[in-house]
Amino acid sequence: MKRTITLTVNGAPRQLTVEDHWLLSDVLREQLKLYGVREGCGTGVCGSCTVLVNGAPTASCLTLAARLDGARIETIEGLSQGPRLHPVQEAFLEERAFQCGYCTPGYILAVKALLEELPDADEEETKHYLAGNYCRCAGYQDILRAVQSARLKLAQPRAGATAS
Amino acid sequence: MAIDLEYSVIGKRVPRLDGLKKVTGRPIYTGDIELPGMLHAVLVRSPHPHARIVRVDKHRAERVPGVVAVVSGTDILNTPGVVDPWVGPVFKDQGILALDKARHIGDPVAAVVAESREAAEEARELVEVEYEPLPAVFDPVEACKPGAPLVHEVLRPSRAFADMAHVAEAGGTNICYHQKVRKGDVDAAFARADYIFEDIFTSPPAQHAPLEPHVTLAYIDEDDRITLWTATQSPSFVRVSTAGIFGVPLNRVRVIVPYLGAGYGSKLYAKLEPIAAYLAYITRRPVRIMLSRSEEFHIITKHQVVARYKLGVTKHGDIVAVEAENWWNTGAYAEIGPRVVHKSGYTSAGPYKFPNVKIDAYCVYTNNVPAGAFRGFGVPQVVWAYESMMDTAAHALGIDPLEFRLRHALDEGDEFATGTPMVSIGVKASLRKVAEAIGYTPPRPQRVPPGSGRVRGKAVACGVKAVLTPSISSAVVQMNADGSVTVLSSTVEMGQGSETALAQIAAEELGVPITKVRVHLPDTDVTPYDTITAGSRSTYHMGNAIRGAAKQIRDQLLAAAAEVLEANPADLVLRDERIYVRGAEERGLTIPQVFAAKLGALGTTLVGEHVFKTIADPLDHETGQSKKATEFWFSGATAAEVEVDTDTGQVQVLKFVAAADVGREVNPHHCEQQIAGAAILTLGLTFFEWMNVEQGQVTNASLLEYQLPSLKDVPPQLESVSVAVPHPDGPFGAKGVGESGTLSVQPTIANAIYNACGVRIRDLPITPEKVLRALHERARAHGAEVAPPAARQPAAVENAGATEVPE
Amino acid sequence: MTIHQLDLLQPTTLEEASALYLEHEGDASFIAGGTALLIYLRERFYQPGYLIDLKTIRGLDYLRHEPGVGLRIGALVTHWTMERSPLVRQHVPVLAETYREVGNVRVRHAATVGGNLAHGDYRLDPPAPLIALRARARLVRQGGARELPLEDFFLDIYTTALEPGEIVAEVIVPDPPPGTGAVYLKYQSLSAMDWPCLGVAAALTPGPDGSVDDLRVVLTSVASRPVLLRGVNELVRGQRLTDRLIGEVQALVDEQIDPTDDIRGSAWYKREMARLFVGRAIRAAQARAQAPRG
Repeated sequence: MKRTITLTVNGAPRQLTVEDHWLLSDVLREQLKLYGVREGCGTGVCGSCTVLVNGAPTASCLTLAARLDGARIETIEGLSQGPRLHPVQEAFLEERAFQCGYCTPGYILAVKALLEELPDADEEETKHYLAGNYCRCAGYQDILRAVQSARLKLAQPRAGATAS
Repeated sequence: MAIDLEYSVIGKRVPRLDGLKKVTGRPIYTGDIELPGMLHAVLVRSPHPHARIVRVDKHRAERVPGVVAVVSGTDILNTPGVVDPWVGPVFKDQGILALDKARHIGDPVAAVVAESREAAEEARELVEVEYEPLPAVFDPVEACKPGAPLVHEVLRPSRAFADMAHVAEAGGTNICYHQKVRKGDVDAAFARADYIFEDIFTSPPAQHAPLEPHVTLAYIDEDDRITLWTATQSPSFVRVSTAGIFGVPLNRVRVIVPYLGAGYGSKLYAKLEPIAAYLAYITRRPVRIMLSRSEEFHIITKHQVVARYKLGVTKHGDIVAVEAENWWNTGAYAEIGPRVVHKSGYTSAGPYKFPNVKIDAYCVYTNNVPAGAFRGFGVPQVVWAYESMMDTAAHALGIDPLEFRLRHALDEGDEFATGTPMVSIGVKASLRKVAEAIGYTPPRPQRVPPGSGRVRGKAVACGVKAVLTPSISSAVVQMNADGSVTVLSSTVEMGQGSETALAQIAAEELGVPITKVRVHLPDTDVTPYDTITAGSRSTYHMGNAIRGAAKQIRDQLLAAAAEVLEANPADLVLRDERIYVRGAEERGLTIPQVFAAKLGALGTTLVGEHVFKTIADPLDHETGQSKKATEFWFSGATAAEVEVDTDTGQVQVLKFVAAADVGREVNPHHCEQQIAGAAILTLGLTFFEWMNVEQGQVTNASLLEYQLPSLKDVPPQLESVSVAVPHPDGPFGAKGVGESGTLSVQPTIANAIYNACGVRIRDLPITPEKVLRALHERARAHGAEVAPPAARQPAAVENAGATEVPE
Repeated sequence: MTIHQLDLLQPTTLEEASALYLEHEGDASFIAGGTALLIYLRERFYQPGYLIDLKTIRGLDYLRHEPGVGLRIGALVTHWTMERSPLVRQHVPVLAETYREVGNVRVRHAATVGGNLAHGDYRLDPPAPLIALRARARLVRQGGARELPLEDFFLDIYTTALEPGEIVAEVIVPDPPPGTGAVYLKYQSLSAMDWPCLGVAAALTPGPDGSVDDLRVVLTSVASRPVLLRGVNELVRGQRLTDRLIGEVQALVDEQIDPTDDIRGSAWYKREMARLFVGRAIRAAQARAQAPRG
């Protein structure tokens, strides 16, 4: 069945016509051309397709878009404002917490959710929260450094970070 | 530091050129590319491990709305324009689809192409294939026996690569390649050995599991050229392979490779490209094909290996003979198996100076999913065996295993098993580094019974790999009048940071900041030939090619500047975008000024080109002897401290150290990432990653069941160390680093477990159950405890007349 | 893989949801968090024509504590809420700990308490402590409701006591008697993100003088459904726990479980581990239990 839903995607309201059986990952990629949403396993395990739905980290490959009428969706494309990077992106860039880059958008969104939901998470809680996002290049040490750095950036008032 | 003074870019932690793109999710991967009118293809796969294809009934599938075509092997054979439907890097043994029979479960036997993925997937369920099942063989040792079912009746070499030029036509056997090494006289040496140690060590098949699956987009352009956007590590091979299928000149095929969501050896040679090109060819529409995760388990794997080792040792602790016999399960198609067996085969005795060596390594067809390159190219499987064996022998002789290794390890100029004198070998340096970092002391393994709580142990191991030789990297470097630089190279950026490292090399040679260098991603219309992006070869080979090409520009710039400055070119320095007289920095010109003087127009260019080709002395067919087996060796060593829970058999790695001899760090951060990443990947393979295969059926073909290491699986302490034994011919002394961290991880863990609780695990992966069973088994052997079913007999076999050896 | 064509029905009451199910019986499935169901749909193991959305039903995501009743958990409460809720942490900390161990953070944000139970997978973690704590499910269907102890809820692999059209509406966890110590030990033999090789929950209520008043032990992943170990209280009630007595409880395990060989261990190994972890769980529960004062 087709239905029309309204989503707020990266801050902008979007009215979409979707089939009931369509997956959020496909709708974001194919309808909205948000290619930072990358499917890796199709079973919700790897975390590459993580997006935030009403702030919650979500496996877009296991989510029916038709059930999300009225939801707020964040993807990697919505994190930076022009040349201004989000502090988590900045931290990933500075700590070079990426290699092939395929897991990176999902990872950055998971870290954003972590720092919003558990701003005071200790190392064990941080690892527990993020363990569901795989980095097959295994840049985990860099990623943990980036999380720590992002935490500090978010705790401090921002001083004009840019992408240049 | 000296390096800092000497170089301005090399050895620096310069930021990655792909960083901003990657943290904003902007890089384009192959699966992101859409073309107008693009079709989607899916594959119909065989449920049988070995079966003749009797009939493919397409009618019901063809009637699904949106379906454009359904094709079988027969259709391919009947397509005018397809001049050779067989592909493969060593043997042309694999059809674009299965053409006569299916040779493994998951072998593609038909393809459906449709307007949407949904339609293609729906139609796939409706393709009816009639099979005539054939006897199948799964075990590589069984497959070598007379009378075993033949996977391929005849073998046709493809002659795609110089290092595999020696493979012969064959038939009537499942052994598609046999690597021999004969050095000295092993029989005589074993006869005079005081002790002989013999054992079998096994490694299971495994998945590369790059998070980006295999994906290809094929398109026939308005000039009738075949264009492929594809996730491959070998664009140059894909071009020649595709041209071969259709019998067209190389310039009628264009292969473009965006960033890869990693490869680890899985995205080499012909994968989805032949079928995608074929479907585009017959439909005249762009066709995308992308595998699902479960399909990934049916395209390529890491080789399963059964390795028998025999070591002859004197009572003084001298190793006088080593004999290795290894069976490599290469699956249904040879793919690059013969090269894996060749390269791992001749290093099967390890980085040691053994006077008498006999190696037989067999690459064996079976009815399993094909096996190919996997980070380490087969070497981790042989290191698993020889480093477990070295420890066993050392303990039996009462010698510290580290000491034992250092005593036998190769030094500069020593002869390898192939008779090749060693050049730039960092084994001992790496071993010493990791031993120091782990706080190594000679172990005293204790016989701990099961159920005695937690015990700890430390151990080391090392390994060596030889880079693929001969091979070729070509590069074109263009400098623009403003000093900016474009590098044309077919090295694939798959996460390793080649884009940045190669830019560093160009920047250093041309005296410009790295931000002024742009590295073009592979596009065979633009970037010249490169053998493959694999095997830790790119920094050295493409680095040398780029350096050579840049040097041509540099020479032209210096010559032009010399005229203006009235100086000898040899007295000029090119640095920081200026050319000046050494010792008189004020006498100089900027790069744009030199261009203006030489060419006098805006936007002019200088171009340099270099083909870097390495040469080997091919290994003798019967003896494996060679004056130069490889262009360079790269070695690694690892050390671990583990804690074994003797109640559960579970092993925790408390601390892990990995060292690699990188020659020289071009970018220290990349080296750390490569070494640590390789170690973590291989720790996964050590403890819990394996493809569970029953009668050719993969039973854990999803990431719900097949496990990858997560953040929580990383040892609490993990250290990566770069050891720098510069190579005389490497760019700035650099060697390779992508695989070094994988080599010795697995035996390091097994050795540490032995040192903790006195049991030896010989079959990977090291699951808690195997450790617990071994503990029970040992306890039973010593009359204690009730024990589970039998495992294996002890490892040391004494020679007649020899004195008793402790365990 | 894409999903086959289907219709999503979005009722607003339990009654309506149940009626829709019965209307399309045999061709419909309820969906709550959907984390398990979507995998099956994507793999095309299962192709229902209708999905009946329970998330559109209002008022099923409450979580409250009622004195004398216990913790009342609406079926749509997510694992994440269970993990983080101060109320759960205060009254039944073992539940917060257990829900924290399920899947990954995305699964926990989507998966619901009711959906987890209705799924009936023998490897799931939450049923073990819930059964150990004598939790009950309130089941609702068109024209009726009933309560069922969770120990009677699971029948076989993916098979529960739910009748056609019946929906888990609420889980009630009675307040454990004062001093009760409860734990759930999840043993993963492979990676840290894997399914359990097995899991053991134990809830121990101390009696006077350090004796045991009540002990319930539940194992998961070692049979086609969670196993509440029988015969435990007959051994331990009124006794002080000794190594020997724990050994006797461990000796009950073998006969009551039926593990199968898989990549996480052979049946032999799972039996060994089941005994071991039963012992570990009892000791851990005892360490948490507080003897009544005075």
